[in-house]
Amino acid sequence: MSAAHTEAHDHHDHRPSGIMRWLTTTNHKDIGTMYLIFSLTMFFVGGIMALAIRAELFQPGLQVVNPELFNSLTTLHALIMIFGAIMPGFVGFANWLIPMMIGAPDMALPRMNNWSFWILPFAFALLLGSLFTVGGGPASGWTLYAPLSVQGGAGVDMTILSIHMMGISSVLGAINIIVTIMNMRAPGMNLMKMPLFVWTWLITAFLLIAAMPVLAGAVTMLLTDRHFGTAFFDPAGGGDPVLFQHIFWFFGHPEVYILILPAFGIISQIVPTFSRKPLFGYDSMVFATAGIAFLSFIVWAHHMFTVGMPLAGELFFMYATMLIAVPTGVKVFNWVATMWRGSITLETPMLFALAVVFLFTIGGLSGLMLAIVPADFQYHDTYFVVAHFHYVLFSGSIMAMMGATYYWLPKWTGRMYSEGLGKTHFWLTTIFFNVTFFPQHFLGLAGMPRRIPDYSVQFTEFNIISSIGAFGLGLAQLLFVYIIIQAVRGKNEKATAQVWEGADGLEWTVDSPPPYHTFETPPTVK
Amino acid sequence: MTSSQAMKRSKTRWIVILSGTVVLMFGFGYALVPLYDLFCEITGVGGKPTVAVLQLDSDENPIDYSKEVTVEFTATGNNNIPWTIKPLVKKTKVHLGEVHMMNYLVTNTSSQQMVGQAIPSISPMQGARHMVKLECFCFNAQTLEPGEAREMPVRFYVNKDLPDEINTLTLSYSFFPMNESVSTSDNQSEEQQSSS
Repeated sequence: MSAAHTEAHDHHDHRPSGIMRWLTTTNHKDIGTMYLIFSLTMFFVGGIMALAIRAELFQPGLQVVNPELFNSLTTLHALIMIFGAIMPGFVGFANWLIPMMIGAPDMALPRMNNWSFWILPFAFALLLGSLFTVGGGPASGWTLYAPLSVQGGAGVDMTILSIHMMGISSVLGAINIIVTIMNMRAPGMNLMKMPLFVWTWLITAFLLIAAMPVLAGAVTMLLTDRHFGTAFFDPAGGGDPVLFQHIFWFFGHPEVYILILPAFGIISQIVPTFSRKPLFGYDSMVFATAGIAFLSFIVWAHHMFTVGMPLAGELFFMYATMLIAVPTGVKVFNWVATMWRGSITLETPMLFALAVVFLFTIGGLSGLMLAIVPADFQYHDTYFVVAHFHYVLFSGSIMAMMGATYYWLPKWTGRMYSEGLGKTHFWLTTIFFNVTFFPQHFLGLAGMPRRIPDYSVQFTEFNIISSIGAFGLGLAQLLFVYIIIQAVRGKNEKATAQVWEGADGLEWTVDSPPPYHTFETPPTVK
Repeated sequence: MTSSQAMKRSKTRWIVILSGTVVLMFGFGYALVPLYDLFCEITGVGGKPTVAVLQLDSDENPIDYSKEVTVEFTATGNNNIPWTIKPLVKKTKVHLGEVHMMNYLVTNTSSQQMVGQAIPSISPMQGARHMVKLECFCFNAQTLEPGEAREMPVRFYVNKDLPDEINTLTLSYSFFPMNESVSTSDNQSEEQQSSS
């Protein structure tokens, strides 16, 4: 967008102009911008699919989309939001911020950085293209459970290949982030002095490296089962469909922490700034993050309690899952303790951060309910699960990214955003989010199954409320885009280098907007 | 200059370590396949019965007349295999340790020679490893001529370690077509091949 326009003032730098600049750039700020724009675009693509789903569910019966398309829409909505909106969004923040936070001139592997990004548009073109094939897009849910995903047409193959590409992109991104953090910190910045956003991303990057290849393996097995005569998941050839679920969730559970840990990092940057106090319990935050990351690898089967596991297995996975509440509780405690007796002001980023702490905790508690084996047999595959993961992913990851956008946008563009519009966007988002998803708890407890285009009439009222909320939530995001464009176009009040009174960290020592190259001579950290 | 060389070496080291981990974890995904089979075999959760090769001597394996367990038999054809599979008895009572034999009548209703493979499954799964098979048509693929009907035997006993709370075991077979001739172009899963 017009980030190109603002940086055109930077005279001493020679680089291609126009589209070639963006295709060939190795600058972490350019790549960060591209990731963020891509993420926002995918957020709207996935959002439109969500609205089609909610339109269909506005009343019982089939009205808007046919059931096959409905299945494809639920599948694609999830894949796009997870791999297209949340993950690239966080990588965008990482690109912009990690070098500036650790005092490095750029990412360690800039060319690979360019490549990681440019794989993504092709991956998602392939994924969305699957909708136009004979047989339609993938309709098995984003979990791609065999044997359903062994059937289906070319659309499923396109999905598998696009998942491979997304996996390559995020693994390359993760390698780049680890190499950068491990090698390019400014003198004096030891690991335990790094800002928490950098810490959470370091741990997230290790999770990506350990988990994404397992997903790549699972979908490769699916592909060979489909076309090359293997029978990993086919009982006739000695395979087992439940095996797919084990492999998938061995990836899938670390994945949900990949989607939330950077958000924890963002909250840990925003809350101290607007409380005008240093973060409470820095060390325990780092260890809690590492603890969550470790536990994420030993709880996967709580997604599949109903497949028929030995009792001992169910007990193990139940207790291990509940154990995650401990480090997560440490984090929530620390955020609250940071605010304790701080001089708090409620600018838009802080409002988002507070909403995340509050709403994510609701999602965490419904997660604990789902972890209880006997209860899970009732909640499994109902709207209760849908409500749960939207509370952690939307009001956790997405709203953290919105808060982060307001927090760092003045740094990136050199202009303040409109505080009044920002707060309006916050309240619209928070209210409509709860209108959309809170009733889904009740629907789930009453037994409405997920991923079904029709429902029995007793669920109508809550579905109407939920659909109205969804359209309000969707429309409110247009305001978000307007606010960003307004700030980027440079009509607003100028931002100072420090931007926020309580802001602390290396990224606030450079100008707003930062010059194209920052920290070519490393700063010294005391 | 030396410090930038040191950084370059350190970067290379990290890239190698991390790329190695990626390859390793990709392999680990595949390693889960045999690990899972092993786990299922040990715990019996896959519903697969134990296979005994040797006929056990009745002295070593005295029959426990104090408990009877009902064994039910059922079968289905999968992937539209044009076979009918019927157990000749629907259920029977056996004493623990007592060797029992029964037959399934399998008929090929198509007009071509076909090969089918039966996959057994036992429920409840806690009982699976206590069902010991001495002989079963599921040990091998079965070939049937067009229209041929054949009785296929299974010989088994239920061992004495069967948990007390289990009174009924259901032995179920799914027959899968093995030859290409029945494959339809849109159903790839019929192309059978062993994964191991």
